Amino acid sequence: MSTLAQEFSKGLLKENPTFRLLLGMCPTLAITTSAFFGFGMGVSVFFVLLCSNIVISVIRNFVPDKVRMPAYILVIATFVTITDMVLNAFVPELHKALGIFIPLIVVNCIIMGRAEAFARKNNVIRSILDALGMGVGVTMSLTLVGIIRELFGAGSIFGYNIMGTAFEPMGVLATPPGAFITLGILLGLFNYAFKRLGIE
Amino acid sequence: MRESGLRMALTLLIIGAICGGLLSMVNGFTAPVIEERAMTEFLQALEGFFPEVEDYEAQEIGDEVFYYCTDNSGNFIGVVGQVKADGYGGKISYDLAVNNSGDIIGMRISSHGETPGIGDVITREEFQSRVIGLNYADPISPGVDVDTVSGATISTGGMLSSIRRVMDIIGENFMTN
Repeated sequence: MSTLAQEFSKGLLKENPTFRLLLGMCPTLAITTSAFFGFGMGVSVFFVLLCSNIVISVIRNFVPDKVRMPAYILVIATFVTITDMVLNAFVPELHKALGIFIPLIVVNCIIMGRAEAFARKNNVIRSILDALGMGVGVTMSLTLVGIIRELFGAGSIFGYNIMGTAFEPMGVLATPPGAFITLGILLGLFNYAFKRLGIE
Repeated sequence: MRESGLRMALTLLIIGAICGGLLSMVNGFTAPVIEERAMTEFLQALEGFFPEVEDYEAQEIGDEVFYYCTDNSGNFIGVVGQVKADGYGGKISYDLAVNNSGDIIGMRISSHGETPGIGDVITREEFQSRVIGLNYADPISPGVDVDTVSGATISTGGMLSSIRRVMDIIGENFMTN
C-alpha cells in the first residue's frame, strides 16, 4: 500500500494523466491555444475530478456493481453542469472560449478513469489525495501546452507580450496541427527525461 | 452481495434525485446572473445596431420579444427582434435588427449549439453578409435571392427560414407603409 504522500504525488509526474497516462487528449489538443484557456480547462477538470472522486468514494459501498457506471455518470455530469453554470455566470469569457468542451468533461477519460480505477476501491482521504495530485497534474500539463503554443504562436504568455514586436508568430501552433506537434514534442521530451531518470 | 433489480433502480433513482436537487439549487444562484449579463450584452448590441437610439419598448409577439426603437425626437428608427431559429444542434438564439424601411442592418447570434467549424458559420461574416441588406418585401428564400452555405445547409437553412418568419412578423407589426 502506498503512502498518503505518494497517493498525491503520483499524479504530478510519475502518473501524470496527460503525459504519462495519455488520458483526456481531446481537450489537451483542442483548447490549449493559450495559457489561460489551458489553465481554465485544467481547473475545471480539477474541480470536477475532486468532487466526483469524493462522492464516488463515499457511495462506493452502496452502489450495486452492475449500475455503477450510470451512477458515476450521473455524479460526474452533475458536477460538470455545475461547473458549466458557474463559469457561465462568473467567468463568461472563459465559458465562451471553452464552449462545448465544458459539457464534454463528462466523458473526459481522466475523471471516469480515476473513478473506476481509484475512487471506487479506496477511502475518501486517499481519493481526495488522488484527485488533488491528478488535478494539479492535468492543470500543469494543459497550462504548459498552452504556454508553449501561446508563446510561439502569438508571442505572449497569459496575454502578456514576451517576445517583443520583432517576433514573427508561428501561426501554425495556434491551429489544431500545432497542438499535435506541441504535444508530440513534449511527450518525446518527457519520455526521454523519464528514461534518463530511470522512472518507468 | 445480492443485487436485485429493485435495489439497482432505487439506487439510481436516489442518486438522480439528489443530483437534480443540487443542480436546481445552483441554477437558482447562477440563472439570474447569467440572465442579467445576457440583457447587458443585448443592450450593447442594440446600441451597436442603432447608435442614435434614445428609447426602446419591448413587445412580446408569440414567445419572442421585439424592441421598438426610437431616436431622441421620438421617431421610429427600427426594431430588434430577440428570436430563435431551429439549427442542427438545437435552438439558435439570435438578434435581428431591421431599420425603419424594413432592411436587415445587423444580426448577432447570442447562443447556439452548431458544430464548431461547420455550422457555426452562422456567427461569421461569410453567412451574415448574405443576409444583411435584405428587405422584408424580398423573398428571402434559399436559391432565389440568398444561398445557404454548403456543408452547413441545415444550420444556414434553419436561419434563413427563421429570418423569413421573423421578417413577416416585423412587416406585419412594425412596418406601416
